Amino acid sequence: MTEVQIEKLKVSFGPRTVLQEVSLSIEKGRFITIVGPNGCGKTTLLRSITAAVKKTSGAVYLQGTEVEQLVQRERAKHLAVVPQNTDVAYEFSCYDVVMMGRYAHIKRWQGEQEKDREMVEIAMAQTNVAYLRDRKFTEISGGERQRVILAQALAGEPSVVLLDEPVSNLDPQYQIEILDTMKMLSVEKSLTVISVLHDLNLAAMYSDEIIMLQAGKVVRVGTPEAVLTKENIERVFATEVLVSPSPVMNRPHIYAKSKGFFQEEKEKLHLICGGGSGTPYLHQLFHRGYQLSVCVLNEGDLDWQTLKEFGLPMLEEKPFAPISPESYQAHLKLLEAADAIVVCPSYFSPANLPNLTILLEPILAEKKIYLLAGETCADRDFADGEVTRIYQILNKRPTCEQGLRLW
Amino acid sequence: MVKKQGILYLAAISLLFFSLLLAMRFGAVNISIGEIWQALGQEGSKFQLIFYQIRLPRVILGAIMGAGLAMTGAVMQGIFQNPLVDSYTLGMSSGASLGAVLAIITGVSSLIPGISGLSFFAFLGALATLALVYALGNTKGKLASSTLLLAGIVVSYFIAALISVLMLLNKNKIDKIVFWNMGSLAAANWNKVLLAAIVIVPCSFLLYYFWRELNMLSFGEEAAKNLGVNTTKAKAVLLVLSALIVGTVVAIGGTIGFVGLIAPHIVRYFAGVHNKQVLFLSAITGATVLVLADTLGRVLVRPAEIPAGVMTSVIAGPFFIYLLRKQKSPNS
Repeated sequence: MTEVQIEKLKVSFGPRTVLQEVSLSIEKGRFITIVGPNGCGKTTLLRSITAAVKKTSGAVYLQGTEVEQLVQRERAKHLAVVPQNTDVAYEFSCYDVVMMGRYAHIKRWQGEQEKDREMVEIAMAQTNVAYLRDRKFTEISGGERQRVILAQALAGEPSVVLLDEPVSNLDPQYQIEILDTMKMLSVEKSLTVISVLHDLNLAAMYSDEIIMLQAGKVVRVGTPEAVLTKENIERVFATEVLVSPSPVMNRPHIYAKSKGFFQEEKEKLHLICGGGSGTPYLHQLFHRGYQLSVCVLNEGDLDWQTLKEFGLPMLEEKPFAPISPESYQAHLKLLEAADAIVVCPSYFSPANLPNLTILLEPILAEKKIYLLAGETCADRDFADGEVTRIYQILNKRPTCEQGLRLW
Repeated sequence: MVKKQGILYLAAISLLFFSLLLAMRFGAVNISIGEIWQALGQEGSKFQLIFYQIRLPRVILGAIMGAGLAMTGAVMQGIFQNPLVDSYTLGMSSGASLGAVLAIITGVSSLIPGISGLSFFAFLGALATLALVYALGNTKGKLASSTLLLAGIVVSYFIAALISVLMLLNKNKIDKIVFWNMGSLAAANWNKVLLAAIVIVPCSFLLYYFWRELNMLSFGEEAAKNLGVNTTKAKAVLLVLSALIVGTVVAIGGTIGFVGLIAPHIVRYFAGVHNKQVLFLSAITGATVLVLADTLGRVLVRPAEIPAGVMTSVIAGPFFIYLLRKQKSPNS
């Protein structure tokens, strides 16, 4: 069943067009999230569903009836709104605030009935605010306020709830608590939830469907997997991201990428690493502006993955394959070009030992070398004492230093 | 909760009753409770004349007007989500005076017999001023608290100046006009009581039945709309009813300031912000405040008297400043 239908909706504020030709169909019981950069029309879209903004053209239907045709009271029975911030000039008790959610059901000359009180109790229990009953709304915390307003929205037994960034001011535990509650109501009570969320990861975690807006237009609609792709996010939000499945829900998880904390590029550093031993250093050095190169790595290696994310050039071998003479020569070229070499605390076996023995090439005798965690080299030696031997040789060089003190 | 409410209601009503007794007892001529009691039975005595024809209508009129003003004050504070407004600070009272003055000067009011013509023009004046202040205070769709107050003050001054000009141009009617700038209950009579009872009492009852909408309006217009309140209709009804009350009060007693401002605050201090209680108790408190202010005005400089409007301003001016300062504190 279609709960909310939007057809060719256009909204303009003066000469500025905020929404253009937006068409959407929202099914009952779905959890829908609207995402998009600031000022793209998310809130306006939400507000046009309640007819709080005047549309220029098009139509919004709620269960088949145009929302503008509905009288306020009827609309309020179906549609509840949780705004971004709730300010109030007077100090009402939280119970009174929640009871206001029953307004559309209360007759002026009759007053509150048993049913109204019952629904208020249920809503307060659902959002876990029963303990705030007699507290003043102006004196509770932001998270508590938001949950009280949610209780107010639910007390009216709506079929659709509109949430405008309901969790952006909240601590993580409340974000999860509120969204869990909304998700539960949508799954178990077929409540339709339409929400604006800033946090793309929360959007990915909870939404059945995501509507991506850009400059007043719908650019994508679909499942989180289909909409929250690296390409879409980078295009719409104009920032580099990394998207990988979240270990919590197997939904897309978006990592924002830093562009680094430096003004000018620094020296060239070459890392001898593998098996993830270089990753922490790669991150640190990359964000501080060092130009990085790395030894020969096998595909799928943890350090190989890190380099791939940074988009740095690599010398690759197939998984478990030994280092070929060609790779060895290419590696030597990189080493020659570097200003200094960092030897990370990796494990070495005969397969990757050439990454270490290469440092004994006479051409590199004068290179600055930083040996990391040299004291543990024996534990990492799976090449019959070769590793220990090489570390000893390197340690004797005047250009070799223990540890890395670049920052 | 219910018990506390009961006690508050009882206390407020007892206080009103007590102040009514005080008001009847003291004045240019003191009448003891015993004499009041006697006057109720004796026809034609001196006390009976003073009591029935002068004291009683004045006291009742004061109570009704005070109640009406306080109700409109509470309603305005709810509608504009601003604890510093009432009919006086928003310029409605001045507007009503201008309406009344214009009616006197043009002589239109005499077309309608009695005082009702005057009150009709006062009503129009109040409504027009409110519309003007509202339009001036509304910048880019937002009704900022300070802008609204400033607009009210500016319009009040402007109207005061207009009235002065009108007075200078109409020296023969100056006495009558001065009366409007100094709210007073001195001219109370039973006709005025009747008019007040016919207009102010039912309007106040109607206002009371909008307590739910007022509660919700304090969350802002959009939030109230989302919860199902037809805010346009509710505001229109509330403001027209308020203008009717203010117009009538001004036509009868001139500009009496601050009752509408302080009464709701006193109530909120004791009873909380729920408009169901605020509206009812404001009416009771407003009545008490105006009756007491009028009594004080009659007693302080006996046998002359200080007009009630002056008394309320003297009492409430400092109170208003206190509120203003309190509002600036970080938790508001």
